[in-house]
Order: sequence, then C-alpha cells, then structure tokens
Amino acid sequence: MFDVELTGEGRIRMVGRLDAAAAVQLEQFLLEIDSSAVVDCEALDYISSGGLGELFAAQKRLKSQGEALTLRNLNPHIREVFAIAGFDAFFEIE
Amino acid sequence: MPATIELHRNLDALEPMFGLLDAELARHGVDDRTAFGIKLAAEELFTNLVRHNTGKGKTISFHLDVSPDRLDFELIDHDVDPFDAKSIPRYDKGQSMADREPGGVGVYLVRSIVDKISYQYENREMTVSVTKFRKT
Repeated sequence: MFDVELTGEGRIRMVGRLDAAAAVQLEQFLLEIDSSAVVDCEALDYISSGGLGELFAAQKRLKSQGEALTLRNLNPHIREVFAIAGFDAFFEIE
Repeated sequence: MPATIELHRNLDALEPMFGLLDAELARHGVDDRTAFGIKLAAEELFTNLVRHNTGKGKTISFHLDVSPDRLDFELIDHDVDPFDAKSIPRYDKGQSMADREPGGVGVYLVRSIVDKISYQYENREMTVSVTKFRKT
C-alpha cells in the first residue's frame, strides 16, 4: 500500500511502500507540484528505483524553475538507498 | 525448504511477492536492514525481467530460501528470449543532475546491496540467482 497527499503549507506526505507499481501514482501526483515543497517521509517504509526516479524527475524539473523538494524524516534504510545511489546530492535532506 | 510463488509477469505481482517476503523474513527473524535490502533486490530484478525480457512466458517463479547465515532467492522467467543484462545502461553515480538519464540505478543498487548475483539462460529459461549473507 502506498499513498501520497498534500497536507497543506506546501507539505507532501508519503505513506507505505513506494515500489515500481506505486511509482506511477507518485509520478501523476508530482506532475501537479510546481513550487517548493517539504516531503514528509516519516510514514514511508520502503523505496526502490521507481520511486527514486520519480522524485529525481520532479526535483530536476523544479530546480530548473528555481524551486526544490526538501525531504524530511527518512528512515535509515531509505536514507541509505539515497546515499548508495548518490541521490542525496540532489536533495536537501532534513 | 524454500518458499515458492508463481508470479504473473506484471507489476501487480509485486503485491504477492512482497507478501511472501514479509512473511518469510519475519518468520526467520531477519533484521530490518537485511530485509529491506533483500526486498529491494527482489523487486528490482523482478521488475527488470518484466520490462526487458520478451517471449511467450506468462509467469515468473520466485524461490526464497532463508537459513541462519544467508538468504538466497531465484527468479526464473519461463519461455523467454535471451536477454543480456549487460545491455542495461551502466549507472554513473557521479553524474550531475543535468546529465543524468533514467535507467540503471536499480541494478546498481542491487549490486551494492547483495553479495552474489548470477544470470543463467538455458532452455528458454532465464534464472537470476542472488545471495545475501546474514551478519552475525
């Protein structure tokens, strides 16, 4: 199960397992985001390359417009995936 | 005794695959970090078979064997054409955001996380075998 929602004040909340199937849902959601936002990952349990790719694509688009996603509350395993892939260089991670 | 499941060749099959993984990894008391890594490897490799292999195959067999010192799994893609995993673009971790293209990061993650990975193609079956040792 995966869910993503806008919780107000420019905050995005992701919940559950962000696998390749769920990445399609995230892609559609992120296409609607056109300004800087904090992505709260406290309830995100898992991520794979599909989710990384969608977050990266959104970040690349937003940064070209002078905006950015900031990731917050990543669990240690997800943070490790970002580090292995080198994606921690592209995001501010709080 | 390995746990086994037959998965349809589409991303909807991730749900039953994760179901089996969650149950077996919990039953054997596998630590969270190792469990995360083995689930990531299984998903990435299954997804690659679904996306890249061609042929008439409708299912992929998944076998998971958890022992006190190691985890092994196999994905067997039936009745498919040969596919060279090396044809997947090589991932360059040092690339800038501007230069980076999608693709290759999944295999890179798998190779970084597991201890052994091998591909075998015989009699129109592609078998991917993975081992990750459990830290004591």
